[in-house]
Amino acid sequence: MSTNETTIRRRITRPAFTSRLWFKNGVGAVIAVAALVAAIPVSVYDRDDFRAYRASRIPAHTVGPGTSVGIDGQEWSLGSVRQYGRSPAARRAAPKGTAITVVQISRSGTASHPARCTAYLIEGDRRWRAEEAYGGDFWVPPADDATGECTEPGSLQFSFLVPDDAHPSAVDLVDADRGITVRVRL
Amino acid sequence: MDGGPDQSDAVWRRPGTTATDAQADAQPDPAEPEPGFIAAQIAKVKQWFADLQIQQMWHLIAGAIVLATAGFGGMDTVEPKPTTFAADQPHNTGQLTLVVHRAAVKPSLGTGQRVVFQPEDGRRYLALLATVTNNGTVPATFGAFGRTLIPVDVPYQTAYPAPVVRVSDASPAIVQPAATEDVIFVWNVPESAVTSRTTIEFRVPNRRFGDYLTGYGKGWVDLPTYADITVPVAVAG
Amino acid sequence: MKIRNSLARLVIRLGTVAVLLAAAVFVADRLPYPTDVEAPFLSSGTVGQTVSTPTVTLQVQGATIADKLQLVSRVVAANGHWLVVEGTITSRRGPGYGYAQLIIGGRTYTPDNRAPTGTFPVSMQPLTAGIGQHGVWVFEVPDEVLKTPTAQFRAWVGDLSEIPRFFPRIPSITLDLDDRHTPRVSRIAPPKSVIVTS
Repeated sequence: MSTNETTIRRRITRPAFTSRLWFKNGVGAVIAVAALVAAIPVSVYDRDDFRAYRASRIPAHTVGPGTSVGIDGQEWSLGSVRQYGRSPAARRAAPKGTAITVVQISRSGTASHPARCTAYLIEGDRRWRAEEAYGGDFWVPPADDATGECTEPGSLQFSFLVPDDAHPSAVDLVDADRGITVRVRL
Repeated sequence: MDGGPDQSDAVWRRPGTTATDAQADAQPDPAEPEPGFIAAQIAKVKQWFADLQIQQMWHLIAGAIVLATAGFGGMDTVEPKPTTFAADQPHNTGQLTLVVHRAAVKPSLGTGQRVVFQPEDGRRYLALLATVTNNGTVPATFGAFGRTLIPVDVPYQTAYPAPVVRVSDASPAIVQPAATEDVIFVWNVPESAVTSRTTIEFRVPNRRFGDYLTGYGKGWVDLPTYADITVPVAVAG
Repeated sequence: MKIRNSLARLVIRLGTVAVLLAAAVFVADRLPYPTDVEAPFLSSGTVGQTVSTPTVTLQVQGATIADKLQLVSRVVAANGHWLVVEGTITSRRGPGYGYAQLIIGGRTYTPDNRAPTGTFPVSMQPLTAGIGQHGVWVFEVPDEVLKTPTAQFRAWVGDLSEIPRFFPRIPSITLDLDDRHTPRVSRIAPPKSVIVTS
């Protein structure tokens, strides 16, 4: 009879926390979330969207100020950043409270895969698009060896109309799928 | 000791006794009054339900499934009944109230000062003059999808610059809510399809304001029902 | 006892099934679509008040009602009346165009496509971050709608004439349509949008 009682008492101990319901549910939830996250690069529907999103937030190449980076067979480096209140070459003077910022990016060499790009001047959340050559009132025509098109060889020059309180940090070159190809930090 | 699994003299171990003996069955009172007519009918229905076999139960379930399907719209008619309306008579499609005036086939169309629809070789413009009132709450644009009038048995292309233009200045027509506008519907049709015709039939689908099939927004979507109108057409040129 | 138990159970089961199916149909017919769930949040304001949201700053100076629109080469009579809203709009994030809607009595009106070039939404310069533009939006409204006392004017900066998705915050200005606040003129020449100098 006494052995019966001690056996019974030993069985009535508290179970380890690994068999508690909340622990099992938590482990199941963690595994479910991990499976969903792991499915993104594999899922046919999600991986293109995710890749496009990453490309639109993280530049493929970054060029720091004062450094020179080889991209696609060309050497990229920041040339100069100038601000004009009135540029003799632009069609209109910048209205009061704004300025025309001209950014020159030196490029040497020939590109193996030239692609079209759109240039944006970035300051945190704010962006300014480059002035168009055709009809852009504040477009400053580039010098003879420079161009405003990424597909053409030579250095690049972009003009932006910005307000006086802008402190831009970079120029982003964005391709047709809205992915950032090159970020040139000012 | 009382109650334990090893008790040898527990009630249930005693031979010849069952648990139900411990409860006294209530004997029906022989002096109960006879049930009335309605109570007897209810008892009969209950008895009918209780007597149902398994197959008959499935009949009931099938009936419930059909009702649920009907709730989701699965019982709508496949071939709707067509209706017709006449010229100069207002017809309500749900989104617009349409009054069709007349139709004509011309090699080119324009205002007095300029040609808006340029002449093309081998093609003509089928033009229909109508007065359109927007009964909805959003502006009615006459785009490539969701045609208001569709010519029947006449192969057409979208006329450039716009499929529907205002009569006043030939600008692309957008009818604002609660506004009435005189407009011309234009279709680019091959010459051979219209030269020998005297009347052309147009189909006008009814519309309702609902969710688009893609799910991204609400707008005027076509219903499967429609109305037809046969318009005499004057062929010129 | 037994007969009643099974009958009661049968009735309860059938009833539960019928109620659940009916409820499913009811809910399925009334599910919100993404445009309802991601509908915009409105920042209200009045005429003369500057309303700021994270993406746009808007100040409406007033509205005018006219019978005829004076364009460069001709005069366009309205099918109803022209309602011209004058205001200053500044984008705060990025480039776009100043689209707008007018809501009167539950009906939505969009800027007319006969308005001269240079008026909003497609101004000569696109709107860019931090640089405001002052201009007008031209709407055509039918006569009976003008009997309503107020209208809501909503404007946003974007690339599409539809309201942007994903919970945008849109300024909504209340316009008074009575004669005192919205003057009536016979002819109006809407000006091109200009960059606001500070």
